Amino acid sequence: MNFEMYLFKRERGRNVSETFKEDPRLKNAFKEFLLMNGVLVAYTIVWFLAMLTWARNPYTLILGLPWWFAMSFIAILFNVVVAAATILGVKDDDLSAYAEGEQQ
Amino acid sequence: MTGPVTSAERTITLLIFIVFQLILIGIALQSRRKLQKTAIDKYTEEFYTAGRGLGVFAVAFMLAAGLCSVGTFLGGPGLAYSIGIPYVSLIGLQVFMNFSILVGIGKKVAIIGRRINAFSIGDILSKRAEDFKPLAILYALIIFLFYSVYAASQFLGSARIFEVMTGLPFYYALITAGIVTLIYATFGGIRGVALSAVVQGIVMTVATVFLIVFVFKNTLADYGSLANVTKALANTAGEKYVTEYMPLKWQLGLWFMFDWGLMALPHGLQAAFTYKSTKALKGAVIIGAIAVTFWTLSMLMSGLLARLYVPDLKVADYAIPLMVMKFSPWLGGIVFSGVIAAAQSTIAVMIMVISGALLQQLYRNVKPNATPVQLKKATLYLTVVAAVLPFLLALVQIPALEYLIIFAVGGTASAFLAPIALGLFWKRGSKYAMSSSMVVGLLVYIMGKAVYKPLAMGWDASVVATLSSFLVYIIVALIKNERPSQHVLNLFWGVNKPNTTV
Repeated sequence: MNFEMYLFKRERGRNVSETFKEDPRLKNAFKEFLLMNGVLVAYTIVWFLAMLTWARNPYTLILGLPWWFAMSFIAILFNVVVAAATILGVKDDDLSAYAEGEQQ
Repeated sequence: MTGPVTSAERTITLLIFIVFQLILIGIALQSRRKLQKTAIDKYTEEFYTAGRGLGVFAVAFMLAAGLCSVGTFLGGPGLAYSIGIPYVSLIGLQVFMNFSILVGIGKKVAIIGRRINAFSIGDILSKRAEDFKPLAILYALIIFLFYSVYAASQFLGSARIFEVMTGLPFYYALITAGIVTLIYATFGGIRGVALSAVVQGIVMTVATVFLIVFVFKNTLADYGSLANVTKALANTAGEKYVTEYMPLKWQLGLWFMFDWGLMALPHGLQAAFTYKSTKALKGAVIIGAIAVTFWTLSMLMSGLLARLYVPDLKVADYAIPLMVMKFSPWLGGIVFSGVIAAAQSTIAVMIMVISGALLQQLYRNVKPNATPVQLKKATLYLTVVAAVLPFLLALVQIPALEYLIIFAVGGTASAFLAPIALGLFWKRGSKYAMSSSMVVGLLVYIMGKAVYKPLAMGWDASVVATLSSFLVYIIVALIKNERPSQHVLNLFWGVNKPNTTV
């Protein structure tokens, strides 16, 4: 049993991430998971706020278009947000099983 | 608009269908060459993951066209047709499926998949649960039962549209589409499926472009502007058609399942095992978002506007095909190909998922020391089984199929979302937390949907089931103080190979 495994067995209340060295690529994957959730929550909030506001009158016009048609602009706007989040937020990590230079 | 559909127009539709099927067979033969060159010990990996080397378009369309099924091209427009603007107000559903799957868990799945040579999310869940056999078997059974029914519904839905649009018996389309799908799935593996999905995605896009141009051109010509359409819809279908909204809980439940729940559908996740680089991931997310947004918005709005042109349909799912056949037979043929493409791409990915579950979670558990030759044979036989069962279910036209589809999607997502999300990102819980959350998610869903509806508390049963599943995972993990072994911790989070010392 190596030292880290010993620690893991002995200190069961301890944060398990301290018992071994984490792969930074997998840490990035978790950050990207949070990013995805953040964008989808924002999308949901914007969508339902717009819908609940505009749908009060079924004949509401937005920029001269029926509100239900204008809802598609939100989806298109979030296409831009999703593209920006993907390009800027997703790290260009190597996908090999074990990245060269990271192992100890 | 033109008059009733003539036999010449039906022939055009049929010809387009035949040409499309021939193209798919050509792709299957091309993919087979690559598969035949693969070394025997790499055959299974190549079959299910295409050597983890697919590029942007293959991944984008395998995921998007795989998840956008007959539901997007017929069922969704059918609901828009029958429910009206209250349903169309949810057109933003599902449009970021590539984003939620690939950015949400795609990178982790890709890296872990390479570490443990996983072919599907079932392999990853099994390994995360310390190779706990009951979990593996449960996963395989859920996939086999629910996905066979789901795939059968796709066969049946597309075949019925064939009958409506060509006037020929639906068995013709069922048998043709079934054989062609079986050929390109078994001949080409996931590579054949992915390359076909690119063609199918293009066909779906072209069909949607033609559809939306024709629909809006006619609508604007007939009603002057879109601003007049709401009033025209109210006059045609009644005031409730534009004013009577579904309960907010129902809407949020649907939104939750189609934005987050899709992350737990193994046929969507299959794409995450195949992409070659982060660059491919990014491209697939952006292209997928644009494509699915375009398909979904266009189809649902066309379904809504169809109410103005074919107002009294008994089967709402036929709204789009019957409307476009009135506009133009050529358009009918193109849109029909789009529907068939949507169905076949979904069926094909599902066949791969069912076959993978039968091979990895059942066959290899029964025969852990199978040789590469035995694995190759088993892969082919199980893929045929995975294709034939849905085909037979479609052939006998099992009753209440629509309800079973809802069970299939909701049940699968309710059972798998918590084990996937927490299993991949939380370093607590192991076989008991994962198995119990899977069982509870499934049972609560079935109970809330069919046995005791008050259990859902006004929400869609999938919402309550998924939350219960998350809760059970967390409670079991904390109460049992259950943690993964050091081996699994290293595999799922560590930088070093499990057998190396830190």
